[in-house]
Amino acid sequence: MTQLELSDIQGIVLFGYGSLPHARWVHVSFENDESEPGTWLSELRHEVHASARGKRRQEERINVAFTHTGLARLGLAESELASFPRELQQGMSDQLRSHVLGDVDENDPKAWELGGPSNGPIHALVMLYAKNVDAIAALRDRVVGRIAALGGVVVHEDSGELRDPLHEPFGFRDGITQPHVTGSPRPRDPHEDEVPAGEFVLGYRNAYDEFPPSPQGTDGFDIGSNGSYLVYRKLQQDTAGFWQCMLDRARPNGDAKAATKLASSLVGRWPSGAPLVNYPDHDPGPGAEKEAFAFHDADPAGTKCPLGAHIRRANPRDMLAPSANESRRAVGRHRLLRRGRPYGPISKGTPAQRATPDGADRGLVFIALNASFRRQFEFVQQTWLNNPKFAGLYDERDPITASVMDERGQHFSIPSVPVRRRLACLPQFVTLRGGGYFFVPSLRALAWLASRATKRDAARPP
Amino acid sequence: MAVRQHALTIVAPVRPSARHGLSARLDAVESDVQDALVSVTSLHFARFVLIDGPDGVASRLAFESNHDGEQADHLAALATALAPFEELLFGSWEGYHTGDLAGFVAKNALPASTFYLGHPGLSVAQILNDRDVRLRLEALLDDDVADLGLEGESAVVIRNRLLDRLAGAGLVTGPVDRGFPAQPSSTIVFYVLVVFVVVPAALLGLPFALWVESRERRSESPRELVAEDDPKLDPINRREDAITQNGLTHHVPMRPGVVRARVMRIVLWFLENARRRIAYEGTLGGISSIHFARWVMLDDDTVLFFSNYDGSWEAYLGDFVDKAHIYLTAVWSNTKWFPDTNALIFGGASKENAFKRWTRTFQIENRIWYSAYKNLTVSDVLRNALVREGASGDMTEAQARAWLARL
Repeated sequence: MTQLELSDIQGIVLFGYGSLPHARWVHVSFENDESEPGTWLSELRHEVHASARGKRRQEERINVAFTHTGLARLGLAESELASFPRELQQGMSDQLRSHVLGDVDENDPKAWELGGPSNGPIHALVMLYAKNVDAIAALRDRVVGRIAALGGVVVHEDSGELRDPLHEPFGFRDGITQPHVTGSPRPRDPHEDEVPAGEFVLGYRNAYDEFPPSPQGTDGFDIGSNGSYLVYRKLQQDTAGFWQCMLDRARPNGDAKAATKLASSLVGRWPSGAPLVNYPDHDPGPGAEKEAFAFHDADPAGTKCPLGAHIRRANPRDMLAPSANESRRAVGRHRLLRRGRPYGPISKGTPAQRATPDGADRGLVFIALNASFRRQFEFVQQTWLNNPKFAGLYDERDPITASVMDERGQHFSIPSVPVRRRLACLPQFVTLRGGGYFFVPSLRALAWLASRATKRDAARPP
Repeated sequence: MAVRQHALTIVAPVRPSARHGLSARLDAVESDVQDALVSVTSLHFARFVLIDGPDGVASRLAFESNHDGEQADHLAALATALAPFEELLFGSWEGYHTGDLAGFVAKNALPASTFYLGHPGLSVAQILNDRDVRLRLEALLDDDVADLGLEGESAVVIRNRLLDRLAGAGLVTGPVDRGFPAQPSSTIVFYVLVVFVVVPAALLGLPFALWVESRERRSESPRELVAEDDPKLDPINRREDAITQNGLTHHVPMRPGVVRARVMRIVLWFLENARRRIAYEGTLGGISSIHFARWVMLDDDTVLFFSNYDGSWEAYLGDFVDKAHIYLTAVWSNTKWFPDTNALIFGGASKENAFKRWTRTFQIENRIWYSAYKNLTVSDVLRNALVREGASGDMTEAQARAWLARL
């Protein structure tokens, strides 16, 4: 049994803070040479929440993560910086990363509102969670006030809100499947797969029964231990465009029921979250979303849930070659802990009502944790979601999240008997507005970083 | 008459006068060479790679091609297509005489110790034909079953209508002989050999192998594996992870000693025979993403590995670790700085992070890389062949449904 050092691991790694519906993500820069990130971190670290259940009432949560540039700003030595993974060193907006992630055309970092080459550099991400609107505003003002007082700058801010039950802006129940981290105090749902802690927390055995590589300090301090790596992506969702397209392509054309069915086949679940594999013909309503399901035996040809549906690509379970068991084992080596939340006003009503443009900016702040960007997040993105050859398909990408790289739009095949239907010319529904790769230090590492940064602050020119 | 696929490998020294700036000159002509190679209809994949000598200067130029049919015909077509680049490409080799590619190849071609084929018996022409059959059928179906007046029709009727429409396109349909032996007579001999010779020999040799392993662990120089920020990775990364296909080149010195050299040859011989006699239809180790791959032993005690594979590097290496680590450990455990093994075939390539870093350490950049069908995966090639095969003759309703399900 893995013993996790809960009092050292930041809370966001093991918990989604479902009881705190309001979130604020503050992207901070200490670019100004006069600023004092050391003083800031020395104070803040005492307020950062660990995964252990604290004595304080759980009314708010603070967690913090750093970009590679941020770690350099805190005064880490060259060799220490070089011991972090290549992906963190390069950052999400690097050309090589964009190439791997498929962040091109509409999703090109050049057009981002945060984290791109035309936006200010980000050093730290402060993640704030609270029970209600007033509490989150107060928490945010307190934290940001201190940052500003020490010369830091808020480069960008996003707000997220959990709705009950959690539906993403297209109207589908989201956040249903999470892996259960071995040793986590969170009770395990029976439908959750157990994944070794080392897939998400450095310093523990991973799915290969090895210890993940961990960045090291020149003084022998294990910087990575009890830390994790965080992916942040702000995904803007064109809800009106999505539902208009579904109504246009539905048969009969414009029929609300048929449009919902079509949209569900792109997602792989009904709006309630019920999996199509178990309910191919109708939405049974809430309650079925947590049912166990698999693809290999239940739907080998994809006639219930299309082979290219979003949920298959995001988590192929047992469907990949050469066998169900091999597939489960391989898939278990590419899992993510998701901590994302929707932003923007809720879109409600019938497909036709949702299809009416209201000009609102809405979407999902996608946040994921993993121990290896390249083997987990980037792999899922590249080899499953964006792969035109996924599961023997010929030329189509994820119908929900992929950027459309071909000006003719993209295909989506719906297998059926006697012959498949292929939707052509689907537009892009989700646009990446920005993002970054972050390191989530342990509480001990935060103290170590704070002392480094304080020395660096003191050494700055008068 | 079935078409056979062959491997051609040349690794030869570069004339000293041609060494300077050769990599840049090769890079500069890559796209022109790719365009020119389209006319070589026998060519599946090809690459030119520079191998650095101990002094860090490009001292050898390696060429591989994977081709259909007779080598003489292939070389003639290559020489014609690459005539404008002859001096740069072939003329960089020490001892190459202008206009005599065949003569140079006769003297310098190296045998592949193990040559893996993902879709044997399918010529380039066949693969392109099958792709066009598939695309044509897909396009016909995209016109929509309703528009074709096929709504509610049976699979047999839909199939017949599609085949009528396909008829005028000038494409080959129906079965093609891929040259698989109906009853491979040598398979049983190979199994007998494995059970009565290879396995006992391996067991007898085990204590010795363990002794070699532990001795080397003490004597080998400390591993100097590539760092996360090594600049050598940038150009390699820029080239790879193309959407569909990629070429991996890997060059590593052998571990010293006669034992390692022997074991290496035996393992590669074993894999080659297993491939020919058991996996002759093109599946080895559960990996379905390799078009062609080969190991070639060079005379300076180094081993070259060329692979033409589908998908990302991370996915390909992940397949190695997840599905084929025993074979790969058996081969590469004989080479420098390979992750620690147990009894030569365990450990090693199953150590995910260490194996990937080791692979990166000895990976080298392709200078020129060519594929005749860049947008096709191995599974596309095989599936397209099944679609083409089923695109002639009569079928029952069940057969027609199964055939339509491939589209």
